[in-house]
Amino acid sequence: MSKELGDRLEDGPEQLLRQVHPAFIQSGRISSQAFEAPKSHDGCLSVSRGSMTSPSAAYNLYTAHFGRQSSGVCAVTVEEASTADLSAYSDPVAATSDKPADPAHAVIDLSSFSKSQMKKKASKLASFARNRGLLFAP
Amino acid sequence: MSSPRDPADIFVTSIFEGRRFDNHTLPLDAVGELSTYARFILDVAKHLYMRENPSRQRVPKGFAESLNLSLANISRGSAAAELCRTRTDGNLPFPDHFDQARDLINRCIDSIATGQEFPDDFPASLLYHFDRFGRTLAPEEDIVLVVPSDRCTGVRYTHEVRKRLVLKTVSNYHSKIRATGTVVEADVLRNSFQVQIEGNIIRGTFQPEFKNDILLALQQHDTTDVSLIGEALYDSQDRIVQIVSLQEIAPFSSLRPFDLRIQELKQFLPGWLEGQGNAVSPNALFVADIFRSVLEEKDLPLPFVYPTPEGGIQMEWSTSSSLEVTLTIGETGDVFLICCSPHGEDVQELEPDQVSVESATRLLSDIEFPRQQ
Repeated sequence: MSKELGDRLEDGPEQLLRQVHPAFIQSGRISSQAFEAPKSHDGCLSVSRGSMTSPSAAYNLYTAHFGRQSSGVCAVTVEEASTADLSAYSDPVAATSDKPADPAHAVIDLSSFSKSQMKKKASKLASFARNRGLLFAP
Repeated sequence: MSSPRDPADIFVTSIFEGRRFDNHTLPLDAVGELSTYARFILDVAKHLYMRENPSRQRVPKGFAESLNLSLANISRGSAAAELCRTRTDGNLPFPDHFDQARDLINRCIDSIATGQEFPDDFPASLLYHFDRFGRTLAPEEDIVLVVPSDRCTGVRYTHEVRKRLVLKTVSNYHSKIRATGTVVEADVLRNSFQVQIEGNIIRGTFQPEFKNDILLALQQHDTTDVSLIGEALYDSQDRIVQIVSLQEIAPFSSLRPFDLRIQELKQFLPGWLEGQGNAVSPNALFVADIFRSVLEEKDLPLPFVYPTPEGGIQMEWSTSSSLEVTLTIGETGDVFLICCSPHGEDVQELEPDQVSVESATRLLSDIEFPRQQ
């Protein structure tokens, strides 16, 4: 893991909010790809801490302020990530000249896993998230 | 199964036709159809006996037992179930009431199938049996009833024939339903629910074991449809009146035709994923079409289909048995399959030059999808 992360999140019931790109949702079903860490993110999956923001606020920050696409917000808990042998870490983002701060930002660390392992982990996380459904959809 | 009997012992051969029977086995619900058929024969035979003996109050003792039908054999080469009779009175040189009942039912079926006059000696009060016999069959499935002693090739009991027989006396008929819709209401006290199918709100009842599935589907009704399989009541215009029982409800099964979804994926231009994301590659499209053909050929559940950032295609299945299947077709046409179930995980890979209809068939055959009904 090349990225330096903050404190490990320990509160099992805390929800980790994840934005779902429109390409990764079909007929309301979330693809496991929504939980695969992009290559450009050092194997870290960006989430927002449910204890520090709400699904709608996280959506607004992601789309309106960061200019990204999202069909809605789903979530897994810290405990569910743990059952998939994954850890989550606080990763607050400071404000820049053109973007606001994102103190609720956190990551789920998938950096030490192979492609096949990451797909299995993503499948498990997506399954948890699907059972919960979208917590916010515009 | 025992070996084939003497043709003289065979009461009727029921040949089940349809994709579900292509592997020459009889699903258990089809075996149940044979029991339903036997009850039908018995009731018609009783009617024939009473008509011949109007002074009697009831059929003789042991009348029902004398039918004595058993499933003797399923012929190799097709799902042809041979029903044999063991007659305690020996093989009489003339047909008894059960033989007559069998022939009368066949004449009813044949009259509808061939547009001839309906036998006037068949009692209208027993037409309801046609609503029971064949209820578990899909519209594209037939039963051909062959009487060995006849020289003809048998009568074909199709969905349409059955429907017309039932509608001779009532305005609705029961048949298998396989539909997609949105659960919009649930009543756990009455075990009832309402589902919106093609814009119409349909009432239904569910067995207690489906309660959680129904509630989950209701909870997610604004984002997720369901596919359901069961038994429904239809009117004469083939409109669903009511869902009377569920066999399967899958909140996350695929809803969109595969071809249409692939056309949608072709619209993803380079940069579709926040400036990254490749267009779906021709190799991936070629391999996806191979899997489409195998899925259709084997009547397997359709997957959800998504683009991958690298220019590939990912198919995913979630089933009510907690089986999660992810099949990723890479941009070069390679295939990566992961099956996760409570019993473990399985990973298989195919290089681009290994992908063919045969290898795709083998790959999908290893997955324990819930059986399509």
